[in-house]
Amino acid sequence: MPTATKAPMPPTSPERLPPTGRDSAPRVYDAVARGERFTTAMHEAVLDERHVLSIRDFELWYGEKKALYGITMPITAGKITALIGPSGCGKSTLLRCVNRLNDLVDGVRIAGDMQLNGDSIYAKGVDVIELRKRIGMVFQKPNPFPMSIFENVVYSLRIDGIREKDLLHEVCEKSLKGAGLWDEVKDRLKDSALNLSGGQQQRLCIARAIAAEPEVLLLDEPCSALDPIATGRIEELMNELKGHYSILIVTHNMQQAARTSDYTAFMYLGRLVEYGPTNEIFRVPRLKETEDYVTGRFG
Amino acid sequence: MLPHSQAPARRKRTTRRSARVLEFVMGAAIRIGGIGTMVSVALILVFLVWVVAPLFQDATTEPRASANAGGVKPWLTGLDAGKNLQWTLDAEGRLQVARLDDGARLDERDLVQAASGGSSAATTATPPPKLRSIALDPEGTRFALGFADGRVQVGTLAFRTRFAARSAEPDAARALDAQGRGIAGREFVEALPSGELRLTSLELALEPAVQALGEAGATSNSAVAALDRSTTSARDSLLVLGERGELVLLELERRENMLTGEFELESRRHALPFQRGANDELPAHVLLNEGGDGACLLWSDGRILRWDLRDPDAARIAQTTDVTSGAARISAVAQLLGKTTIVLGDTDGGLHAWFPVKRENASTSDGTELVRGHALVRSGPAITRIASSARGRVVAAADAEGGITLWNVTNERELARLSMPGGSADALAIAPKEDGLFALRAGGAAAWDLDLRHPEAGLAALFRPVWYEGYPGPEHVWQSSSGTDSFEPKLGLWPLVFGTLKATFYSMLFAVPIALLAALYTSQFLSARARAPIKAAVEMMASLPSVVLGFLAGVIVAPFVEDVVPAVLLSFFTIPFVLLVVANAAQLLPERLGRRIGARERLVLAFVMLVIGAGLAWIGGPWIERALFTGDLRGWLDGRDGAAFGGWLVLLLPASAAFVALGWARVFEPRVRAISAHWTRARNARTQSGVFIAGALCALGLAALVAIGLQGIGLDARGGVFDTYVQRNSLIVGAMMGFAVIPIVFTIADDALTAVPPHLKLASIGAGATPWQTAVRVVLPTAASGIFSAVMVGLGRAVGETMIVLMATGNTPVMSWNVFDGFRTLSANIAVELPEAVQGSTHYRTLFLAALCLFGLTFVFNTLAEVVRQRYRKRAARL
Ligand SMILES: Nc1ncnc2c1ncn2[C@@H]1O[C@H](COP(=O)(O)OP(=O)(O)OP(=O)(O)O)[C@@H](O)[C@H]1O
Ligand SMILES: [Mg+2]
Repeated sequence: MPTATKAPMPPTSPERLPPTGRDSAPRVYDAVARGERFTTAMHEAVLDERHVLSIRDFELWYGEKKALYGITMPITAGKITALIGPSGCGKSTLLRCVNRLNDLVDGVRIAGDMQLNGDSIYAKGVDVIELRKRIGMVFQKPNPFPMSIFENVVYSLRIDGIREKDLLHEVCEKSLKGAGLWDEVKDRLKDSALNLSGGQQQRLCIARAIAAEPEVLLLDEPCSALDPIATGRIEELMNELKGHYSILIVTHNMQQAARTSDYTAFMYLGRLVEYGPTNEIFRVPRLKETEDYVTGRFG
Repeated sequence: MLPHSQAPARRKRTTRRSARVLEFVMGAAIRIGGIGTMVSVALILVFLVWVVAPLFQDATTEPRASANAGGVKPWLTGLDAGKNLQWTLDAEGRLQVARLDDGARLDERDLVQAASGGSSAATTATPPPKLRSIALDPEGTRFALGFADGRVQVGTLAFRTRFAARSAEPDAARALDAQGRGIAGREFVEALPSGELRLTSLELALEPAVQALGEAGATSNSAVAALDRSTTSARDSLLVLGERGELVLLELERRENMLTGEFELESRRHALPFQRGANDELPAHVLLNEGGDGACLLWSDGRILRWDLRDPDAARIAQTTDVTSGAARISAVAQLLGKTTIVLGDTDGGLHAWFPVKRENASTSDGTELVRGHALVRSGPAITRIASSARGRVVAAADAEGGITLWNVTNERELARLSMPGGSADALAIAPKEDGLFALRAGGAAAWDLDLRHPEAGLAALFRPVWYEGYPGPEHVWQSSSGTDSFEPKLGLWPLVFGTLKATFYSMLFAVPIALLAALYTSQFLSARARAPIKAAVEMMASLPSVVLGFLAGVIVAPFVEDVVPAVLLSFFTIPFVLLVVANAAQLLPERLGRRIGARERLVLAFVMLVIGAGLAWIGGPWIERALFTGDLRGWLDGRDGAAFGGWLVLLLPASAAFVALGWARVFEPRVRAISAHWTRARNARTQSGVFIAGALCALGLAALVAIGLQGIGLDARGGVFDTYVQRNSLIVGAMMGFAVIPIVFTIADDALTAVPPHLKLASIGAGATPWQTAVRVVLPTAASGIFSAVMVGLGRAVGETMIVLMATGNTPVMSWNVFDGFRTLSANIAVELPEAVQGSTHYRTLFLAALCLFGLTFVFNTLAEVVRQRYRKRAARL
């Protein structure tokens, strides 16, 4: 288990190549202004893969206010998919729709569907509790429970009523190792999780999420509350988790998206603007808005 | 650094003067308010302590000038209320009245002459018969004389005070000395600051002598060796012991002669069947009790013969006992006020108090036993004299070495230790107001001013069991007043503290689960929109005046519950049971249908279940009463009949249900889970329901089994938590006070639960936990400190609550955990008794002590709440 931290990459803007098939004027603005239906610039590469999660024509309203517009987006299994976009464009909303946390918000309406490994998420009669057990989520702010480190990690097993000590310890160790935290906390598993540093707490939350062996792992800006060193560790961790887990991560950090993800989706004003392999999105975006955003010209 | 000219133009920023002034004024106001609050709380505390402190202060004594008038060897003595005058009776029957300070004589009477003169004026040639014995009651006013010729005479002795203007009494005004005191004729004169005169004199009233032994005029009559007198409103009773061992009960009644208009003394003699051993000495003392229906003969060697005189013509010996140990001989005797307690001093220095006590297993014929309630001194110099107070339980005991010790008998508190210069006292008297002591010896006298403060108080008397007169043993008793003068106030605070704790316990038992579950429900399972009106409604409930709740409880709920006790008890079981049954049944519904049941449907369903549960209890109540409690629960509670089984079953069922549930979850559930992992949902639900039914039966069986076992070994819940049903009882108060406490606990707990950061809840829900799991595993532990505070604040409220307990309990200060009995709390007691307590009295100060205890209790609860809150605050900040 590597413990050395990798320094974050120096902020260099990606080399710009002449864009191919790109319109001269920003299309999203015009489409929205004309009230037209907007079609995502979908790179073909994403469609060829095996998908763990597929979002189809998904729309969402917070009361009267529409927050997501016709989002269709397949998520590739065993890969890291990054969601980028300016603040308020609906990234977190989309993420929270995957495990139906938006059910808890008053006045939310949705249309369309999502499928997790072929099972509908929004069909009538879906057992939401069972569904959520298949999805792991890590939030922007580290949110360990006020219990011991051990109890935090095995929380998902506890709520399933599992009491076998051996199994709990095995899962705890495996998950903490998976989250790269084992060496730091193995001697104080009984300590309160609140005594850990912010970075450690966030990795604990990741350990807690992967202890349930989720089919997809949702990360909502997991590094935004952390310093660069802790961020580096989390990125490293994501690289290690890749392959075994399918990860959907929201980030505001272009370098992070470019460094860690295999695919990148750019959202804007509640729409999925462009979606494709990361190197294509950053090097040869098809749309002007995407280029402007990834190069930091607007956002 | 930019050159000044290039700096951008800046707006000049100043704080407005009005803002500064406001800042200053508000800062000062807040500081004054805060400090003022703290100071006023501290002042209240100081005031309470200041009122209460004298209860625990020691007595003070101050020597006072005194003299033995005429240097006689006194037999009995007494003081007036103003401590100016003394009276002394010597063995010759001479009664002298003199000033206390210098012994100047005011008056002198010869009781022997007076007695003879009264009876036969003709036979002046023979010398009058000698005075042989005398009895004086504890108040020091009513006496009885026994003469050598077998006659007895009763009379009263009292200082009378009158006020007069100087002009009306010129002789008296002339007699005044520099200090404004003097003697005018038989009166002691005192100039008052107002200019008036106060004149005090001894008034002696003697009834005609009555022949108690032998025949009038006969020469061979036996002399009166000892006698005692006891007075009731109807008659005087005298117990007379003749020197030849005759024992006579004489009843004297004053009758008005209708023809002459004169009062006549009518006497009835009852000879008691007292037989003395041939060589036995005479009893040294005879003692009558207050009503004259019981008496003791006391020998110097400590033997006591107690008589039952309820029917004077069939008087019988009730008890024979010995009050001394070893070779000690009784050397001094006194009766306390009320003539029930006898204080005995012996030659070994022992000083003990004895009184009759009703006991169930008494070995005596009248079910009463004379017991030694208090041992004040076990050994020391021989006791020579004992004087008792005319208003309380204080005695003074003089010993052979000149020491005089003041005791309060009931709480065995030594008040003061004095010493008489030059030898031991022959006569001893406590001043009528307990503010002075007078000791007299043949050649001298000594007097003290006393300030006993509150002799009946003290830490031990207020908080430890005390053996009160007539009680079978030391007990905690609160009984502050009664009809009779000789009543002894019983100021044990424990029954009140106990009542407070009992009220708190039962109301918290009712309120805490409901309030916390309600808070959990509104904060975790209701949307913010639905929560607002519910919270407002509950807070409205808090504004319901507690006097209304108390009124409802006492006048409406208590009589109603009294009629349906079994149903009320049963509802504690049927309602949760029905809810559980329905929860299980819901699982059996087809999956699609089951998921249709939303939050609103659940709420409605819960209400319906509540009604069904109550209905079941209503119907089942009489049935249960017939099956378990012989058809009459209140009779069963009284212990009149029926087996212990029913009570145990009711008590044990909750515990056994919890035990079975826990056993299932710990031991069997993991195994079943392993087997049932691949079963269908419906099959799982069916299994679950089967398990529930089996578990319920198991719980019932287990409780029944243990109940049978407990009954088998002879244990009975009656006498503990269950006992005689009283209409206004703890169950009622618990429920109604619960209503007063619920809003507070609910509000604070709801705030604490709502304050749990939403990201913790989301993390739990996101991990696939049910809302209930989230609430119990994450939200509750996180809000634990707030919930603890809520409970503690509720506790503080329950402890201090007054009106409900005042109106809905019988206010009986009993100490029992019986759910069906009342109690009296500190607060209700203060509310009831403070208006009628005499300011500055022991009772008054004790009530303030009760207030201080209350203050202490609430302070402890609130501080505990605050400390816990502070400790968890740091943790909360890290969440
Ligand atoms: N609970 C809510 N109720 C109403 N509107 C909401 C709610 N949550 C989010 N929104 C709105 O939905 C839109 C999308 O919000 P969302 O939080 O998904 O943005 P985001 O892309 O995650 O932004 P950021 O990068 O700042 O986290 C915003 O306009 C926001 O105001
Ligand atoms: Mg967001």
